Amino acid sequence: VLSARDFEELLPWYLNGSLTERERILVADYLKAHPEGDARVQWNASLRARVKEEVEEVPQDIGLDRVLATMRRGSSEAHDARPTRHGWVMPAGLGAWVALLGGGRVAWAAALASVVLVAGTIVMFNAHMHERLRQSTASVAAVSQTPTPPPTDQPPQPAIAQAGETGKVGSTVAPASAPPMPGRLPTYRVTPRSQQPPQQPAPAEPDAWRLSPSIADLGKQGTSPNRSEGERSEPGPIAEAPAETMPAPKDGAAEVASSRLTKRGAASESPTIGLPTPGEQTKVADARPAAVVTAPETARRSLTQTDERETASSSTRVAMSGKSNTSCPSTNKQREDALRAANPDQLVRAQAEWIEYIKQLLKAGCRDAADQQWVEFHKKYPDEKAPPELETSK
Amino acid sequence: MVGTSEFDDALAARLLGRIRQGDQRAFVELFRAINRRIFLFAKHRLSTREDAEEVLNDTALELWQHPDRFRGDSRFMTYVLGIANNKAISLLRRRGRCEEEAVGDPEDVPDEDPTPLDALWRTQKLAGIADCMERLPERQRTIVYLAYFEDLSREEIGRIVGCEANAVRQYLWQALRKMRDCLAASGLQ
Repeated sequence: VLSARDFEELLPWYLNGSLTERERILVADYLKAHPEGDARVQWNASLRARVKEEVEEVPQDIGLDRVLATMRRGSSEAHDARPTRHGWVMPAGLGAWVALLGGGRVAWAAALASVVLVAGTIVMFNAHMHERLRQSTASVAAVSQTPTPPPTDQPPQPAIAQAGETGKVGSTVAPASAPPMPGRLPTYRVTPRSQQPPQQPAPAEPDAWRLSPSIADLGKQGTSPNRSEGERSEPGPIAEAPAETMPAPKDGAAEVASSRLTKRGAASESPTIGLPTPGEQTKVADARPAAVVTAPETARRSLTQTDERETASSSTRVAMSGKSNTSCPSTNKQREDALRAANPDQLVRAQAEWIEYIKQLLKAGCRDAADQQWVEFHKKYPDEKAPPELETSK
Repeated sequence: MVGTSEFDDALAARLLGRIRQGDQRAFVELFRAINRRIFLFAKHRLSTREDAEEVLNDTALELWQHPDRFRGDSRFMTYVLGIANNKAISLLRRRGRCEEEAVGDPEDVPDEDPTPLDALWRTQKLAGIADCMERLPERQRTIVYLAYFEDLSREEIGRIVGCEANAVRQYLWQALRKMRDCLAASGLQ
């Protein structure tokens, strides 16, 4: 049973039809029991009618022109910076982006994430390209070692600090005039031929100062960004130096060079081998130009892998050391053979060619080298007989 | 006359779907169905025509920019008027006008019997009702409008104005009492 106040409180909702069924029944029962309640119902109905009449006085399209104009203006203003509700000034492009995404926090997060992603991609791409360039230039093997030139005749030469500049074709490389620190690799300077002073005396062996075409080609390969990891370099890029100009390393120098070769192969991507230690450099500085042997990565890596390669490494050391005879011809050829032996994946010299080479060694008086070559040859071709020259010399 | 029965939620949902695709015609159709109701609500809420038009504009833009925010949790008009109410509050705050608080706790209003509505009904002078409504506090005026014009339930009005359904019932009863006093003071009783 409703009280009079409950009836008055429920009456507006009774008239707009939003009461629950139970409440509606209670109000109807009240009206049946209290006929004076009809007057209140009619007053409320009149109030409702008066409120609803107001809508007829409002134009049908009220606000339409304004909102359409705002929409048009909003689309154009999206291109301009405008303050957000947080008081920030939103970049025009970002604002349009956010508007396209529907606005709100999610849209903001998506827009900012996209910006961060694009920026990160650009930074990573630049870093990757820089690293690729650095690796490529570091692998350039076009270095020709020269002895220390006479300091009085040498004008100051610009030192090359960037590895990328060391691979220039047609450059000469010389050790820095300052003596290197003990235990550290010497610093070399590269002087392009175009920058060499004309009055500079030509080296005794000009060819030894220049990069051979094969080295130049390797340098180009090394700097080529399109060079893939799987590509194998041919083991032929050797500095062309006349055999007479080759230094005769003392005992142990080859061992040092070989061990340094292995270390450098593990620690650096540089394929250049044979750089002398400061002591060695001092020994050969006043001698003749020394050639720098450039080996492919495959040769360097294979040196420390298998027993077979250990054998090859020993032959490499023998060949590189030039123990047999300093006057033996084709020292470069020996090194080439050594490099080939160090890289068993490469094709070895043809059988007949090898025999011919041993004969040449014998003719040149390189008995030890010929014996060594024969031992190596016999390992691979045990059925072959020793050449008569070898037997005769024995 | 535009009434709640003339604009069902199914039609609103269809129009919102088209608006989501950028259909401006759908927006105009939706706007014409609700603009006068929003305007009148805002006018009852803010008293001035200019403010009411600004609230109408802001509410319409909200529907255009974020049509996907209506999830059908309530009736569409309840949702729209809730937006309009928030826009009106923001407008009042920007202009340094704080919303009037209800005078006293609705539960503290003493019960009176007999009701003065009988006298109002007898005088039949409803012309003064609108003037008396203007004198009501903003929240009570809004509730009167929503209950008598929009025919919304207590729960729906409470969702719009941000209070409990029982409080809405109390606010409306207080508003009617004040209107009685207003009409009596005007000699209309």
